[in-house]
This record gives sequence, C-alpha cells and structure tokens, in this order.
Amino acid sequence: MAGIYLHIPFCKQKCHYCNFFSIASLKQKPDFLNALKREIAIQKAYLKNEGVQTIYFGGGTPSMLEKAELNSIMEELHKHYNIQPDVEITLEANPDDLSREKLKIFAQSAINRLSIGIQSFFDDDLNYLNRVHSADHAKTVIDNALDAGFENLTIDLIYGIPTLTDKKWQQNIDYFLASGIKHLSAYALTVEPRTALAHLINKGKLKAVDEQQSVRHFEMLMQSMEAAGFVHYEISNFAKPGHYSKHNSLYWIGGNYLGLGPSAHSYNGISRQWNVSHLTKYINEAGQSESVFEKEELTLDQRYDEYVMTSLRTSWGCDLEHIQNAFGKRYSQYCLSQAQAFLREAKIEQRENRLFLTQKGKLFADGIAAELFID
Amino acid sequence: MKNTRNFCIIAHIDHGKSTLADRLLQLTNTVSERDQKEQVLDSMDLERERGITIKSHAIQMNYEKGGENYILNLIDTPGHVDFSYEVSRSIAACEGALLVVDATQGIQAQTISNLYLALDHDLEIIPVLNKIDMESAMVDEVEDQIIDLIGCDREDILRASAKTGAGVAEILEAIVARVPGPVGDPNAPLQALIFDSVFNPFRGIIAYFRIMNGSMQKGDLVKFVATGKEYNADEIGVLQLKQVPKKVMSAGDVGYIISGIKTSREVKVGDTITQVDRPCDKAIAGFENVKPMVFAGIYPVDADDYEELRASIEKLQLNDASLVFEPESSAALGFGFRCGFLGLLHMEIIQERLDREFDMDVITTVPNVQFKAYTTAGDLIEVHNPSGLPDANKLDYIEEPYIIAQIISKSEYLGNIMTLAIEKRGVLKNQVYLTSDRVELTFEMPLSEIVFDFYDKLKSISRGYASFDYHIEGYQRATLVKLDILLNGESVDALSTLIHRDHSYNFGRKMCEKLKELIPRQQYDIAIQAAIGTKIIARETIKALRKDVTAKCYGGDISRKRKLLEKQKKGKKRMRQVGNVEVPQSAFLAVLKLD
Ligand SMILES: Nc1nc2c(ncn2[C@@H]2O[C@H](COP(=O)(O)OP(=O)(O)OP(=O)(O)O)[C@@H](O)[C@H]2O)c(=O)[nH]1
Ligand code: SF4
Ligand SMILES: [Mg+2]
Repeated sequence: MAGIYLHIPFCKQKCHYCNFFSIASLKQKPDFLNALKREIAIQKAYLKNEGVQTIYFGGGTPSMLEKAELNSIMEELHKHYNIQPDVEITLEANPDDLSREKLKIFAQSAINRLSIGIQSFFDDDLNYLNRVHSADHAKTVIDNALDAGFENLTIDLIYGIPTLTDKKWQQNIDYFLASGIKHLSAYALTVEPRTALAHLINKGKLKAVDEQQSVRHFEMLMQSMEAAGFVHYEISNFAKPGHYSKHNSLYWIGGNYLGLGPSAHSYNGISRQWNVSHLTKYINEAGQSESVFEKEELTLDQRYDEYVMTSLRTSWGCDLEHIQNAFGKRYSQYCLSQAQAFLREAKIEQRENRLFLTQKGKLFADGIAAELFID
Repeated sequence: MKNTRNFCIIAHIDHGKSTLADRLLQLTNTVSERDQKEQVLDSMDLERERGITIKSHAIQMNYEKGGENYILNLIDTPGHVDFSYEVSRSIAACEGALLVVDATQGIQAQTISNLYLALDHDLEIIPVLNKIDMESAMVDEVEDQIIDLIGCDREDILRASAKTGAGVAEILEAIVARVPGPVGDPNAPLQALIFDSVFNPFRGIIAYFRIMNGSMQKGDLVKFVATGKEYNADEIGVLQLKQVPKKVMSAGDVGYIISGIKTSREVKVGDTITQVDRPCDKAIAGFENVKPMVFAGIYPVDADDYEELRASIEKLQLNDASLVFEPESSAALGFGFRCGFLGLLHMEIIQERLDREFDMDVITTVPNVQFKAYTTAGDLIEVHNPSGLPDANKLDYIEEPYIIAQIISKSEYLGNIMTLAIEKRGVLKNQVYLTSDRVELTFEMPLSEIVFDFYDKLKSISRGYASFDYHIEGYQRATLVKLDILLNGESVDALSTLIHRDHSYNFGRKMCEKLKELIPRQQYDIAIQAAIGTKIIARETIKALRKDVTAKCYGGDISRKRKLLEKQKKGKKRMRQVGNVEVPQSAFLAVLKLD
C-alpha cells in the first residue's frame, strides 16, 4: 500500500497557531501548479509502481483550488502512477471555501473524502485562533457537505484553547456526535515556536495555554468518544469501525508515501526526504534539480525508533513480533524490557505480543516512546 | 651541544606566541607546506576551537647560519593564568625565552608573571614586540614599558609581526646569538628532567625530558629516581611535528621516552631519569608543587563508572600536572573525586578533556576555595568542600583566602571597576597611573569572590581592556554561612555553598530561580528550597508535567519528532537521580550561571 500527498501552499489568511508552510497570496498559483506537475512526472519512479491507495490534498488550503486545476493534477497523477480503483482521495477544506456550489463540484470530482477544518463551533475560539470562518457557517457547511453526498467526511477540532471552557468543549464534542460524521481528528492546541500565537502570548496579547485544561479536555474527549462507539485509533484520531483514514493510517503503519509540493515529506522504507519550504525555490527547482529536496537515510536503530514512536500512538499497538521480524530479537527484547516500568505504572498494557498505551499513558506518549528508543 | 639552543616563547594570553611559532617553523622548513595551518602547535581540538593554547608544545627545528647547523628546541607555552604551571615546567627545559609583547596591548599581567618565572631560572630574555603590522600598535610606548620592566636597551627589543613574518628572521638570528648553548657534561652520569608526559592509547605512557648531563641510548636500563622504578628505554627520540626515534641523545637534548611504564602513577613531572648502571648522585631539583585555587567534586554520571573515572583522571593527570585529586563521597552523588584546579577555565578544560579524550560523562559540582575552619577545641581543619565544615556547635570561626588583585585598565573604566570590586568585597589598596590613560588598581579581596564570574564581568565592563592578575595573600576571618539547597525536602550536599552572610539571601533566591530553570518538569511537583541551617530563605516550585504528547504525527512530523525525542533521551541519560528528582548535569553548576 502506498500513498501520495500533495501540498497546496495557499491560505486566505494565516491562523495564529499555524506552522505549516503556506502563504496568503495566490499570485504564484499558476507557476506552482506547473512546478507541481513537473514534480509529479519526474518522481514517478519513487513508488516503484506500487499500487496507490490514497491521495491526499493537504496544505495550506487545497479547497482554494478550482475544479479544472484539481482535474489537471489528477490527470497528471493517473498518467504516471499505478492508482488503484478503490483509491481514497481526500481534500482538506476550510469552511469559508465550501459554498453549496463548490461542494457540489467537489462531490462530482474524483474527491471522495473531505476533511473540514472546523476547529470549534464557537466564534470566540475561532477568533482566538484567527480562523476565517464563523461558527454558524461551520455548522451549515457540515449539513451541506452531508447533503452533497459526502459519505466519507471528517472534521478537525482543536481543544485546550484558552477561550474554550470545559462546558463549551463538551458542546463541541456533542455537536460533532450529533452530526453523524464517522471520523474526527481532535488536536491539542500547541504553541509552536515562531508562530504568531507564540509571539502574541509572549507579548501578553493572548491568554496562555493551560496544560491542565488541555489534559481535562483530552480526558473528556476520550470518554465521550468511547461511549459513542468510536475507536480511538490514534492519539488525535477517532473513527467508527471501518471508517479509519487510509491516508493517516499509512503514516503509522510505516507505508511508503510520496510527498509533492513545497515542504512535503516522502518515505520509502529506508530514507526520508523533504522538499524546500520556500515557494519560489520550489517553483524554480521542482522537477529540474535535486536541490529541491533534502534526504536522510535511516539506520536500523532510527527505523526501530520511528516504528515504536508511531505504533504506540495507535490502537494497533506496538507489535513485538513485528519488531523481532523486522529488526531482530535484540530489539524486541530491548523494547519489552524498557516497557516494564510503564507496565508497572499502568501506562502501557500488554495484550498478547503487543504493547498499547493506556488512557493514562496516552498523555505521556512522547516521553514513553523516548524511553523505548535505542540508547 | 654548542650548536643546540633550547628556548620557550612566553607572553600574556593572545599576544601571538603560537603564531610566532608558526613563522619560526615555516622559516626553518620544519613544517611542510601541506601541514601548515594557523597555530599549528595548538594540536588539541579544544585549543583549536577556543583559539587558545592549553598545553605547552615542544618541537625541534634545524637552522643553518653562517655555515653552522643548529638544532633549536622551541617550546610554545600557554598565556592564560590557569595554565601557568605549563609555563614554569617548560622554562626548566630551556636556557632562553622569547618574551612576546603585543604592541597594541602593552605589558599585561602574565607578561610580568611569566617574565619572573623565566628570570628565576636565569633564562636569557629576548624581548619581542609583536603585531607591529597593526594600526593600533604603540611601538615606542610599549618599548618604553619593556625597557622599564626588564632594564634592557632599546636595541635589544626585536620588532616583529608574527602575522606578516616581518622581523622573524632576525629573531632566529638572535636566538643563536643570544641564547647560550646548554651547559652540562655529556660524559657525566645521566641526569634527565621529566617535564611533561602523556598517555597515548596506542603507544602507552610517554614521558618528555630534557637531558641535563650524560647521555641515553636506546635500550639502556634506566631508573626514575623518585619512584625507584626501572625500565628499558624501548624508544627514545626527538620531538618534531611527529616523534622521531634516535639511537643516542645527550646533554642539552629535549626528547621523549617510551619504556613500558605500566601505570600513570609511575610518572611524576619533575622526576629525574638516570642510568641503573651508572646512576647520578642526586636528583635534579624538581618542580614546586602546584597550589590549587579552586576545588570541585567530579562524579561519574553513571555511578558504575567510578573506577573508570579514577583511571581516566590518572591518565589525564599525566598530561596535566597541575590537576590534583582525592576520593570523596557525596550523599547525593555517591563516589567521586575532589579535584583542585588552578582556576575556572582549568576546571572547564578538565571536564571537557575527560569527556573527549576518555569518553567520561561527569558531573562537576559547585566550585569553592579552600577554607580554614577553627573548632571550639582549637583545632584547624582545612575545608575543601562545604560539607566538610564541622557542625555549627563545634565551629568557632572560619577563615577564607584573600588575594591581592592587580587590575590594569584604561582609566575611563576606573569607575566601573571600582564598583565591581567593592561589590565583591574588595578593598582598594593602591592606585597608580602607568600612563596618562592607563591605571593600575590594587585590591585586597576574598578569593571566593573572583572564583565565579569576576573575570567575565571585569572583561565586559571594561570592553575587554582590563587585565587581571592575582596572588594569594593569606587568610582572614570571614562571616560565612553554609547555604544548603533542598530538593523535595532533601538536602543536596553537592549544591551546598559557603557564602558571605550579607550575600546569602540574594544568592539563595537566585539559586532557586536558576534551578527551576534548569531542572526539567517531572511527574511530581518539585520543591526547591534554599536554607541556612534549618531556616528556609527561598523557595520555588517546579510544577509536575501533566502531559507529554505531540498532537500531530504525520509525514514530516515523524522524523522531526524522532530527532527531538532522541535528543531528549540523550539529555536524560546525563541526569542524576537525587531522591526522586532527576537533576541534569548543568544544574550542579547553576551557581556559575547566576547573574
Ligand atoms: N595582526 C596581527 N595579528 C597577530 C599577530 N600575531 C598574532 N596575531 C593574532 O593574535 C591572535 C592570538 O594569536 P595566538 O598566536 O593564538 O596567541 P597566543 O599568544 O599563542 O595565545 P595563547 O596561547 O592562548 O596565550 C590570533 O588571532 C592571531 O592571528 C601579528 O603579528 N599581527
Ligand atoms: S488554514 Fe491551515 S495551513 Fe492555512 S494558515 Fe490555517 S492552519 Fe495554517
Ligand atoms: Mg598560543
């Protein structure tokens, strides 16, 4: 199983918390699209003709693309890659782009999965985050998307926003649950360095994020989602059985993927590479010069570390047998012995040959993974 | 022997010794074109990174003049006061010294100290005025200073630029003409002075010597007088850029010996090598013992590495005779060593060298000076460690070391320097204008006040202009209190300090704040307290870590996060568990980072 990620680096305005590569001007869009198509062609050998089961338009804001633009990208992809008939094609969308007409157009296109950046159903939270859309519109968009026939729908919510009280957060969760959508990505608001949010908090212009609140929100979330029959299949992702995101899962099971567009990352099982995070450089170099990306070969230790780090976050858990087969007995034994302390503290539980984070453990996924890393 | 010249290059720090050595090596074709680089004798990575000389470095040159072939043994020495023991030992192997003075700076503290060391050994002094290529060079003025200092004639001073090479040929000529050849009888019984040594992982222990009398042959059975140990001289030779083996060496020569020495303790700098068959009657007067200025504990990060740490320190001591150590133990850190250093830079270098050359991860504790504690019973206890202080009810009083500090600076910084010195409990003893805008200030002040950050502060308030030198003057009674740091109620002996009562509250508060910054959040709240006796004088809390998880983990996040966690894990390995608190290495030196 392989996937393709396309990074569409345009946004209407920058959200305060955003550290993705995107710019708030469409001036270079035509040049970018040409470069992207060049890159699509030149990278065709990367996936070694493996069947592509997921294509993901991320960003940035891919919903800013026109129908014709989307189609021409898809055409180019079909030309060069072994795209499977049951391919999942996801488009990230912001509510402000999703008029009824646009939704209809997307519904008729190759896109068969929509991921909508709702973040909150309250205006004060959206203001805090500097999102473009309003809470009302967010609600309307969900109804319209369902109406347009998007079966396969997911939304993003953010918790731990200082303006988001526990009560409001519960209301956001409840609103989501009532909508009937079968997939949710919920992220803790993270203050990344060098973002507007970090700066504004530093200057005292925005309220600082409170860790305790974030912990409470996460616990509320886990409880409500479980009660509603969702599987917590990754730290920040919940789905009804059978509605997992193919694309996201690909990252966590170590599948191969090709990333196209500025700042996009690719992985082929042995090395990772990533494109420049600079639009003009990308436009000038994509498909013309190797200097458009940097590359890193992974050692066995590093591959083990990555496996542990990502698998522990999922409901499939960290498979000791897989570790033994893929890396060797030394690694599986090490992993299990490092896990002992966490088993005792009930942060990890073992079922058969797999290790899973408990609810308590999920709050400390990073520190736990680090302890299981090779020294 | 009459064509051998042994000389060293001495100066204040940064006056251009190593650069001048480069030019001498170049002019004598000692270093091939290919091997040439700036300060080629600064061969340790640490020296190159910091741009200073840490170790003396001996090298032999061949030189032809007036149809005669000469062998010139040069020793480049460090200029920083913390490495002055290197200078004093190098001097013992020489008959002459190039006293280098930076024409833009003039005479500075170590110019004077090192000059006196050389004069004590009757070395012929050749003054060299360096950096004359620079626009800010004050040629006449600095020459006046030199004439005043050593009482030479103006013509005796050689003007040079180690950068351009101007005047360097004349220096070589002067060495041959003015430095006397070594005296000593090649036919007398062997007497060779060990002035340095080093542990080489491939070749074992190597000793560097200067033959005073007699001669030595490869294969001779030799004896180290002080230790009484006998060895076969498996390999002897001279020090060029590499070691060059020789069959015979004799009086006046400088070289190395490899002789199957088993343990580090068998080699003592200052020891005499003689022949077993025909021993000399008396050993050469060795070196004065070093007097450490600063003491600190060195502990292995991993307690199991104690024995390995001991072996490493012993090997390092071979190459740094100014390092002294003895075992000690700490409730917080387990078994380690109390080490004595010549200063803070020295301490830092030792820690770095243990890490780089011996792969030893260590924790260095808060440094302190040596105190004298008098008990009510009238006993004197020398205290190298705050935890060695007698109980309060048995303690009569404490004395601390005082120094006479000499500061030379441009007069415009006088006010700032006064303020700083007084803040550090200094008392002005003398003030002399050297020139209309250069002033020399003499203070009496406690050594403990300069141990931490005095020098850095002095440099910064004088824009790097002030030079600083000091010597120990004696002990004076002091109102000191022992300040303890408690983590979650447990006193951490390795963080205790002895401090003047008037500074203690402020200091305790800053320590708590700094530790809060340096100790990462953990699973529980951590209370940091500063206490004098049972009285808590400051407190901070590190809130428990409630959550440690990245929200997003997609394509690019994976490698980014992996790298971050790998780094975090490395850092954690370098932490020490004290009670239930993980304390990073850096926290034990928190005291040095207070502002
Ligand atoms: N312009 C100029 N710069 C010089 C001259 N001699 C040395 N320097 C510079 O002065 C700085 C210090 O030179 P070093 O040779 O490292 O000084 P040093 O006396 O060996 O220093 P320590 O060994 O650390 O005491 C370097 O940046 C040299 O390039 C000179 O004649 N002219
Ligand atoms: S929409 Fe997404 S990519 Fe664009 S600024 Fe907001 S967070 Fe960043
Ligand atoms: Mg030097």
